[in-house]
Amino acid sequence: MNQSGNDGKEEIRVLLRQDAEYPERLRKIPGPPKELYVLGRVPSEQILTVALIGARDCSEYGRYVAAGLGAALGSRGIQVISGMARGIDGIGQEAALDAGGSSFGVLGCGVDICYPAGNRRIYEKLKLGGGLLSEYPPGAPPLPGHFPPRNRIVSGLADVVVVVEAREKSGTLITVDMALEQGREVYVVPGRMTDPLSAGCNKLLKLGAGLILSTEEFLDELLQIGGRQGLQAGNNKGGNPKSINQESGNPKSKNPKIGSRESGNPKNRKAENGNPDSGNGESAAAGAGGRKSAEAEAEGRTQIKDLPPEFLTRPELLARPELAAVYHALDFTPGSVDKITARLPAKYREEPVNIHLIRLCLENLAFQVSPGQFCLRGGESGR
Amino acid sequence: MYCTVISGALLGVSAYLVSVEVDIAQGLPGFSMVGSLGGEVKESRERVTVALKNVGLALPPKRITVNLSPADIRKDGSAFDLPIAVGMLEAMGYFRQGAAEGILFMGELGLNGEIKKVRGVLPIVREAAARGIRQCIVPAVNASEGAVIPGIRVRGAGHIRELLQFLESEGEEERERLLPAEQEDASETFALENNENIPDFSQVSGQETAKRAAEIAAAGFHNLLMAGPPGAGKSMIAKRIPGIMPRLTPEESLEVTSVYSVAGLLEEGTALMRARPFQSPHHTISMAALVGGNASPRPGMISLAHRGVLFLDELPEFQRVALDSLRQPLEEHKIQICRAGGNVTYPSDFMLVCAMNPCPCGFYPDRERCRCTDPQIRRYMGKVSGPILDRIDLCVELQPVDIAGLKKGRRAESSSKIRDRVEKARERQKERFAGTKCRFNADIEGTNIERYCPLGGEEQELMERLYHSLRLSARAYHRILKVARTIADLEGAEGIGAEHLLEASFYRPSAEFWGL
Repeated sequence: MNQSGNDGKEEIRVLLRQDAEYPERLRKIPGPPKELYVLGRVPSEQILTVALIGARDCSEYGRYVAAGLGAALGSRGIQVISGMARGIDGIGQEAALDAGGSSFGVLGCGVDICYPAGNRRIYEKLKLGGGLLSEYPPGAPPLPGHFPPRNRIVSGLADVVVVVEAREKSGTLITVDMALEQGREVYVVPGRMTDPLSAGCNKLLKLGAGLILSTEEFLDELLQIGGRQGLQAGNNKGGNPKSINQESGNPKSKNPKIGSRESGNPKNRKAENGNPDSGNGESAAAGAGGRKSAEAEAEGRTQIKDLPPEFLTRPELLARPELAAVYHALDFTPGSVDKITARLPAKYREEPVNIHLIRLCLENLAFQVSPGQFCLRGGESGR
Repeated sequence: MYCTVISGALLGVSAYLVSVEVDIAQGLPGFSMVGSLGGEVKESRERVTVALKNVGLALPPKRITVNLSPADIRKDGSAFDLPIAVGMLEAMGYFRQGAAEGILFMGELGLNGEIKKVRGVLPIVREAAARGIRQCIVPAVNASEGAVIPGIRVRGAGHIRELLQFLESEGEEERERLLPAEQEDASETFALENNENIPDFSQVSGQETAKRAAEIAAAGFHNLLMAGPPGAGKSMIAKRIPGIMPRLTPEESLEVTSVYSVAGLLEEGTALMRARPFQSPHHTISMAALVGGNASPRPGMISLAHRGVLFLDELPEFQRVALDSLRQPLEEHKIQICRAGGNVTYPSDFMLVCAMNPCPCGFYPDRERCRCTDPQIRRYMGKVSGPILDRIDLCVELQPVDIAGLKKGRRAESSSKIRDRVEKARERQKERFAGTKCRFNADIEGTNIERYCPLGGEEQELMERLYHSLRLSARAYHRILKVARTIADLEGAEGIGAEHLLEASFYRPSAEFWGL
């Protein structure tokens, strides 16, 4: 019965509270759902589970962090729960799945309905690489009133809740409330104080939520929490190369930087101990969001420390300091060409910055948000 | 007593000659007019009889018949008043038989005998000249308009009495004294600069990318879309685009003047329009007003923008049907209007410049300020129909002007400097397209894009990478090539280089930008 998720057959099961397969974590929360409709698998009780949640209209920074965290969790076999919404939810889940991990989407409608419709691709991936859960019967429409109660299941199924981006008044913070009520650990990605999309996050930090300073550090803490609760990181089914290459149109998968990242990254090698087949997942993590961390780790090698790995392996890029300058003027917050030009050192200000920006887009280093605004590229998932 | 007087009527922006036949015979007194007449033409019976009475020329109690030939084409307008009156005067014997021969008459009569302004003098005079007529008499206010046509003497008459004196007189000298032929040397006036009404780009500080986009658009006659928050200067830039387009050639000027003449919008005393037109209809405009129409068709905004700029501000607010009706004219550079009264074709070779806010509140994608929901943005963008976006080659986003940029006040380049570059780029296009139906880079079609926009091996490879990483569609790919061709022309480069392709990509319009 448990295998039905992997044979691709669409079979919706209903689990009652007394059923053995009903998630134990949910049974313990206040107001557990009477019945749970499942398409695919149910999260495993023995494996560490993280809810990755955040804003729908996320920034490129949120996209980048969600993709990075999702991939890191997925590659270590940690289950990722979320609401399959637009933005952070879907991005994190897709990154986890693409890294070979498993992920579960808790919906505010029947599990046979893909809502939002734009996430059809993630919906299909979830059916194969995890499951879709809902307390509403098949065919139930996505009514606004369904979503707040849905959030208690998201946090209820997880051991740890991670907030990537949240506005001050948002559904994400409702989930956090529920999580705290249920006694879950809450970790938060910090943001700038001027960024409304991080206002909710920063407020949670002030209230004492766990702080995520880097993916690696967070994973260490996570594994400690898992250890305390007797949970383990599951087996990453990363041997499934199909899931990684799914974005076949993405030139990034052919990008040589993956190799360079693997070799120059002793810290990650260490973290992978005991998880011999996570290599594939690791590559995906690098593909989705390893850029900045690789950059940080290149510290010490002063002459190149500020350049992204793509620059190191591409002689034609290394030879163009103006491109590097423009790259450094970029930010995760979209900025206009004029703004980016103003951030450049004086000697580069007369350069045709828009042409350089398009070149960076071509190298997948930048992203053209709108005709006149550019930012750092925050990964591929959910695009 | 029977006589014939020559006049003319409009068919689109072209004209045909009409002979006005007047017969005054014994019989029951009456006045009948035939010849497929529109309402205004039928009314001319009252205007003519009252006007003649008021200048002391009483009509005889006889049977008067007026026929406008060819009788099977519907005739509109008030320009037949004068030829009908002249025909009646001749038939009544007020002047010598044959004195009005070989002269084309047109004009509207007031009840006091005054000759008033009419539409379409220029095309009718042009047609008359082409048909070998050597003299015409038009309302005095329209005289300079008709006088630009060489080979025909155009006299302006202000009152029916002046005209009668003219027709009564004998000898060329006497006639010339009474109604002197209007002198308008087209070539001479043409040399004059006439852009003083168009504001100059030197008044726009900052917005370099938008100005550059305007320059590229003007050079290749590409359609342009500007997005940006309110007050960023979209209309400011649009209004200055006619000033950087090449000067109107004499032929173009004649075309433009003809359209304005047909529309009756030529200012009094204007001979030729020498500045490129700029039309900026309000977004509530109806389809008929935009493309032309009415029961008896008149040129619409797109024809009034012929050889110039049609600026649609607040693009998503326009009615969908109105925008969709632009599709054919954008492809074919003319518009055919079919009405019960007949089919007419107006020229409509305009450059489309559109401006819009990126979302209902105007601040998207600045998520700190924009509070529109995604569905709202999508709905807003969805109002701009895809087929119109498909015909736009360049897209540029304007940022709100910050006070620092305003203060810096580095004096911007003047329009005439930009126009020099644009004219050079146009020259190159002229050479390239000599003998083909293409005129500008914007006209290059998918089928001959490889011929006009060949790429070297390296550039081809770059273009393929751009295609993948920017997720271009086939259309977008072609548009980038066309725009890159224009950028290369502006630079005077023979072939399209990598920088040209990258810059063209920067200006590519893409629905993806609005999260569609």
